[in-house]
Amino acid sequence: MDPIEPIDATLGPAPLTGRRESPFRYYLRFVLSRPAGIFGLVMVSAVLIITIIAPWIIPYDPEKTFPGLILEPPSGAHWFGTDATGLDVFSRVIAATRTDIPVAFAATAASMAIGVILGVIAGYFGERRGLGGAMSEIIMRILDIFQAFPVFVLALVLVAAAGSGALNVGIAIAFVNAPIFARLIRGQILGLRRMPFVEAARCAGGTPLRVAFHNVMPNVVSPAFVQASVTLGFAILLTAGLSFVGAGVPAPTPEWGLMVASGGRHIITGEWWPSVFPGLALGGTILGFAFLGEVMGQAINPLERR
Amino acid sequence: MSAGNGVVLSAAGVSTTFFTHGGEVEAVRDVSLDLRKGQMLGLVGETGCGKSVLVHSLINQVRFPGRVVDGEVRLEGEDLLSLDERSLRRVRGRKIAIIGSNPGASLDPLATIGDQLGRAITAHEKVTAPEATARAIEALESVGIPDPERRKDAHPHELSVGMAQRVLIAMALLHSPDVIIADEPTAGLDVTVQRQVLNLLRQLLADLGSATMIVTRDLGIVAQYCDDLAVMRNGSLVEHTPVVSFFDRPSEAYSRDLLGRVMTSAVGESTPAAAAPAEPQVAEPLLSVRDLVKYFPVRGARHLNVHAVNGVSFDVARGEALGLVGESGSGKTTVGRLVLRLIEPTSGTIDFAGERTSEMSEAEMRPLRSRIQMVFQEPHASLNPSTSVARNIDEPLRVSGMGRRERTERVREVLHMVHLTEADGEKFPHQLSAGQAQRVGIARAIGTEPDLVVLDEPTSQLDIAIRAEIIDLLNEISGQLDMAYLFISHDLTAVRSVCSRIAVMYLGKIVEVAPTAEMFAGQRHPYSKALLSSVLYPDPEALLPDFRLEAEIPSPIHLPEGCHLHPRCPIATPECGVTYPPLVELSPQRHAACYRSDVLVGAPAIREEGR
Repeated sequence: MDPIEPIDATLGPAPLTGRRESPFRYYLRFVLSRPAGIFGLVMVSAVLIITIIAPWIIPYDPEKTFPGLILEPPSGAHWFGTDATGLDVFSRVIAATRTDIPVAFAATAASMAIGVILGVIAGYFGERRGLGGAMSEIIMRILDIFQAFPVFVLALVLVAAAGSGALNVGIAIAFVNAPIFARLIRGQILGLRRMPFVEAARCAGGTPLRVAFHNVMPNVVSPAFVQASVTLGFAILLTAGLSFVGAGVPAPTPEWGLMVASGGRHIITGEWWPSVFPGLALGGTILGFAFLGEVMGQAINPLERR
Repeated sequence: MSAGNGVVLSAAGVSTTFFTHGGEVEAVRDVSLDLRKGQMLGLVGETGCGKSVLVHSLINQVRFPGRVVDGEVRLEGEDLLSLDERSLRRVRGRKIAIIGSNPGASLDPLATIGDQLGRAITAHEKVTAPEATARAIEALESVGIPDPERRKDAHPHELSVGMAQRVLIAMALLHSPDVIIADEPTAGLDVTVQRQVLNLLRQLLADLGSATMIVTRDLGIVAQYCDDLAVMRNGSLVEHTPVVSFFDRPSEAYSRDLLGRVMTSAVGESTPAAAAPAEPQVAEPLLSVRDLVKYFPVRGARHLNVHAVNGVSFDVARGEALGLVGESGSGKTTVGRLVLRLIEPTSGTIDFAGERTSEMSEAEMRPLRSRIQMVFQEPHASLNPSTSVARNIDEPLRVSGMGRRERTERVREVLHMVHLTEADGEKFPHQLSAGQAQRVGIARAIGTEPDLVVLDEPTSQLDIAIRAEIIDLLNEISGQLDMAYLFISHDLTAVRSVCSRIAVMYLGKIVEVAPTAEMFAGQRHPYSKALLSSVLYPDPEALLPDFRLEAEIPSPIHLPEGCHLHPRCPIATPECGVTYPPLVELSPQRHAACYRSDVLVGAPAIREEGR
């Protein structure tokens, strides 16, 4: 083998004594160095903060109707106006974060957990003979079947089978996203599996499961977190989408997709506010997560590192 | 040092700085050197000292964030540093040629080598296509490529590394350049092939009379092939003298230090610490390998196998250090991995401490693992990047079920044994230098006080000076602990100073076993002889025995009939091509597998002609 020359000759003889900055500071600096990153970070932080403080900033109860005020345009009292049932749109847009965001986070966390476990097994034991190899093959083929269906259709089928409601929507979303994590992690592990440090871990006497999860897995979690940021955006979209077609969260609950669906029919008659405001909130949130995920993806690419 | 006789290229006060985000890095500082007609200058220095940047500076081809900030490089009165890109193209390749390392990557994988040579010709001369082809064939012939008419249609992946390096040399010499700069031309080549390539280069340069600079980390190459020597450190030239006077009395403290460290390890002045002449007969050996065979199936070809190991038998006694030596493709690393049961043997047996490990299941093997440890070739890649140094060392201890307090104590102990501090334990692998990382690898291996440590080329990816440190460390540790080493290496000098016995492997078989001193005193197998003859000692007065093998190691998929070496062997007889010679005992502890081993006794070392 060739002796390894300094990977990046432009760095020259880098001092080895200098401490590399902490990963958190590195990511933060990287994200803030790009416009898309700044936008993503601002949007995501804003949405998260609003989610936390929602109960204290909404002016009205999101499920309380104002009988005399049907389809009132935006005003000082009702900033985003009222909808066809006389509900305050502003309060509902804010309160909806408490439906969409927790469902998306929980679903993403669950799909990440499932995906990482399956991915580590499929990757570490993949392309080998014996029980592990067979298991890996079975996992990958099942994932293939799931990924053969469009995500939305699959989620719709699952919710239709299990019944609507936030919990089932979350489970469905976790289910359809798990294969993405599994494939990502599997690819990373396949790349690492032949590294000498993995053999060293075997020489240490660790069981295959210990080597796979204790020694190898920690090296592949950062791409999973980046993927999580992108998945979060899609999870929100999916929650809203399912509710939009009536398969998600049931009616009085404040939820962006639901609001877009019920407010949409009034656009023709000029009452745009019940659907446009939740639509903007939804779009901005998804865009924020997507941008942040994109920039984070660049940040973990070693070629982008300086 | 300018205006001497026959100076072809003269660099004066060259400084190159890289303007990076992290600040300015002065990669080359005020370097002045001359290249003379027909002379060979060796530029040596450790990794990262600025050798390659200097090469790029000399041809005014420093890559972007870097810039030559000062100095001049004169070639035939022209200052290359002030020429524009167009004029430079006229000079590069025609007046100055570069021979790069890593020949595999320097050739275009999509074009035949004939086409690539043709392109290099037409870049500077107006010739017709058939003429260019004819010249290409001629060029291939001149670098000793057999059957050039047919080989010109080969793509780079069809060539061995040695052949690819020859093509690069042919390409560099196409226009009979005045100056040739070879950047680590033999890095990654096996020693026997390295000898072939260097001899070829020297002979061609003698014919052409070009001024040459060889960039290398190997003082042996400098001592044997160069006229002058320049030592570089941290971007500056610390020494620039004739080779002979350097090896006599290096004037700079750094050079003295460098040379001193290299000499002790390379020439093998130090005797192995495990010098107690091992007597394997006394007790049952610690490790006993019998008729070990390992075939790897060839992907996509059902009935083809790579015959990596073809029946290997050897013993390692308790506390003994056995060297397993061979070039790439000899199967030595596979043997190491088989001993560790990282891979399954095809047939044959391995007994470790009285237990037949070759028949154990993975789970049965696990408790034994703490008694057989391994040190890997790549220092950084063998450490888990996500955990600290201390955690890396701790891992085998933790798996073996040692208590927490005991483990902390033990980690501290082994860190000290490999001359690292507790503060180093807090670091992460990427913060370590290659030498430090390898120390961590060694610390991890000795933590569980194993009976056997398999050292898989532990020094091959390190700089020479660091190599010497690691060798010293291995000797020191074997003096402190009762451990046996199985030292796998292609580097005979490294093995020499650690091992008491050496086994030489060629194409999956052990061809000769002998105690180290006896092996170095005289070899009884032509392959061992060729291998030892290829070692370039960092001593310009050392005799280079002229015993060379032809061509390169054949493919282990289709092994030669009879003795595996006979197609390359200078003393082969027809009998050698029929049956494989048995490994016979020539004297106690000394075995060789050659029908003609008697011919080799007392063959005198011949000083090679020309320099």
